[in-house]
Amino acid sequence: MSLVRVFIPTTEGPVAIERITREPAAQSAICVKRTTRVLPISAAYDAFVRAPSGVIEREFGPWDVSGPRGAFRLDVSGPITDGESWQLGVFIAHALAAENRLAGPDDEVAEALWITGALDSDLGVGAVGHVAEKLHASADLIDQHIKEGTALRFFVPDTNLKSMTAREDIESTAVTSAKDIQRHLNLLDEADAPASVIPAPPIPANAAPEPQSGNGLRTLFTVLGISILVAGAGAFIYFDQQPIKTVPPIVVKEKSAPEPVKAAQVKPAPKAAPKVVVAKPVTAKVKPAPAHVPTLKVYELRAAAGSSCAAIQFSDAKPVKRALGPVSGDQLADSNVAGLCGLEFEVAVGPEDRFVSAAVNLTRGRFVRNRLPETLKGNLATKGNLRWRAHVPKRLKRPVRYNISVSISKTPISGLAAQTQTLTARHRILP
Amino acid sequence: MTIQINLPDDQSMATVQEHFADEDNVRQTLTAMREAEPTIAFSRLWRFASGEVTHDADLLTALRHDSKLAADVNALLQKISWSHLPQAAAASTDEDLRLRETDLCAIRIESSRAEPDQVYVIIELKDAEANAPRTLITSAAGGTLERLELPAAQGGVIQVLLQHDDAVLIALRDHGTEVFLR
Repeated sequence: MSLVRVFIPTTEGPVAIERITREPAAQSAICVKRTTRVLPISAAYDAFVRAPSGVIEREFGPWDVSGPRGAFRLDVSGPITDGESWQLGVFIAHALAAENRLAGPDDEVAEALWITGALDSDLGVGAVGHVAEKLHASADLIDQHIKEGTALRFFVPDTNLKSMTAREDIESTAVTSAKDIQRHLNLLDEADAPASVIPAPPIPANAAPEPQSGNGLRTLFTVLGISILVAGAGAFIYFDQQPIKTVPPIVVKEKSAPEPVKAAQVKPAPKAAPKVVVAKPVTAKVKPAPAHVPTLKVYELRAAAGSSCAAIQFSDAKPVKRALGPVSGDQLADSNVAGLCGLEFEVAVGPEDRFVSAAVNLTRGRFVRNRLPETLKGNLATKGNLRWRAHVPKRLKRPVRYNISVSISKTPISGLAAQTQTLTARHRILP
Repeated sequence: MTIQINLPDDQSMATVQEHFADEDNVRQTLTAMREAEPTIAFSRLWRFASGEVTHDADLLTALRHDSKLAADVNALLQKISWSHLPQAAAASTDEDLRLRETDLCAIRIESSRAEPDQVYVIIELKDAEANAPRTLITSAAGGTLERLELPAAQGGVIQVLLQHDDAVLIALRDHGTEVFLR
C-alpha cells in the first residue's frame, strides 16, 4: 500500500497534514505539531467535517465512536491561518486516511501532493487566492523533492492554473472536482470512475525515455477505457496506440482487472522520481462552467454627513456601507459602536433557486431589531442576493458578540436532514 | 552642687519595669502592623472576580493563606457567575472526576486518543442559544484559584484542549474544587 503525503500550501510555506485521528471530542480541531495549540480555522474545519452540511462525514462516515459524540483531530506541521484553500487538500487527506494511506511525518512516501482549492458541497473545486505566493513559498519543498528524487504533484483549481507558470520545472494539474484527485490516487470505487478518465501515475520527469521500437513506434496500449491488472507491486503495461509523450502510463487497480488484450511490456512500478512530477490534466470530460460559490457578507451601516442613525433606521435614508473583512477564519474585524447605526447581512445565493436558512446567534448583548426575511427560513426557494439589517443600541456597556450561520440547499431545509452548504461568520461590536 | 537621686524601692521598681514592658509591647505591635500584608479591599476582589483584572498575584497568594478571604471570593464568584458547579459529590474520591453537571451545562473531560497526555475539556450548554460563558474559574479547597479564558461556543459547545498536567485540568478533576463559569 503506497503512502501519500499531502501538503497544503500557504503564503508562509507548505504545511503537511501529518495525521488524522477520530477523537472522543465534541468538535473537530486542527492542531499544530501534535501540541494543544488549536488553530482558529478549527471552527471552519468542524463545519467542513460535520454532517449534514460538512462533506467529510457525508462522504466517508459514519464512524463508530465510543461516547456520545465524535470528531476528528487533524495534526499539521505548521499554522494555516484563514481562507478556504485548505479544504481540497484536507478532503483528499481524509480520503487517504480512510484507506490508511496518509503518510505521517516519518513515513517513506510513494509521492507527495501539493493541493490548494476550495470545495463546495458537490465536491466542485473553487478558485483560491495567492497561489503564486504559495508556490514561491514552496521553493524549498520543491528543491528538496528534486534533490531527493521523490515525486511531487501539483493540483490547483483550473482557474488558478495560470498562477503556476512562475516555475517552468513543474507542471500542474487543473482540477474541477475533488474526484479528479481521488481518481488519480485510485481512491474511488469503480462506480465513481468513468471509463473516460485515466488515473495518471507519477512520472519521473528525468527518467530515461522509453526505448523506441525498431519501426519508431513505442510500445502499444490498447486503451479499452478500463484499467488493466498489473501484477505484484503494480507494474505498468504499455500499448503503442498513443505516444508516451501524451499518454502517461496507466496505474491500475487489481480489483478492476480485465484480461489485457496485448501486454507488450511489463516493467516495475516507478520508484521515487528524481525530478518534480509533471502531471497532465486527468479529466477528459468537457469542463463545466465554474459553479457559483455562495457568499456571506456583513456591512457596517453608518450615517452619512448630514444624516443620522434615526434617519437610516426609521426613514430609509441611505447609509454609508463598509464591508467587514475576515481577520481569522470566519472571524470578522471588530466594529466600534461609536457612530454605528446597524449592520447589513448579505447572502449571495447565486443564479439558481436555492433554499436558504439563516440564524443570527447572539452570544452576548442584543440587537435593537433583527428580523429575518421569510426567504431565509429554509422553506422558500430563492436566488440572487438576499439582505437584511439589524440595528444596534446607541451605547454599549459590554461588547455585543454574535455569529451567523447560513445554510443553502437545493431542497427545503427542515431540521438537519437537507444536504446543505453552510456559511458562517463571527463578529464583535465593541463599546 | 550635689544631685541626689532616691532609688525606688523594690515595689516601685517592679511597677516601672512593667510600664516599660508595656510600652515595648505597644511599639512592637505597631511595628508588626506597619510591616504586615495589607488587607485585600473588596473593590480588588470585585475587579478580579468580574474579570476586570485577570491576574493578581498578591491576591492569589492571599487566597491560599486566608480561608475567609477564599470563601468571600467564592461567594462573590457565585453571585456573578453564569453557572456555578459546586464541589462534586464524592461517590469515589479515588477516581478523577470526568463529568460535572448543572441545569445550565455539563463539563465533560475526555482523554485524547491521538495524544494520551492531552485532554479535551468540553462544556456543553443545555441551551445552545444562551449567551455562552467566556471564562472558567476553578477554586480548589485549599484556596487556589485558576482561570481559563474560553474560546467561542459553536452550536452550544465550548471545547478546550489541555495538557494532562495543566493546573486547570488538575483542579477540574478534583472532587473538592468548585467551578465557576462566567
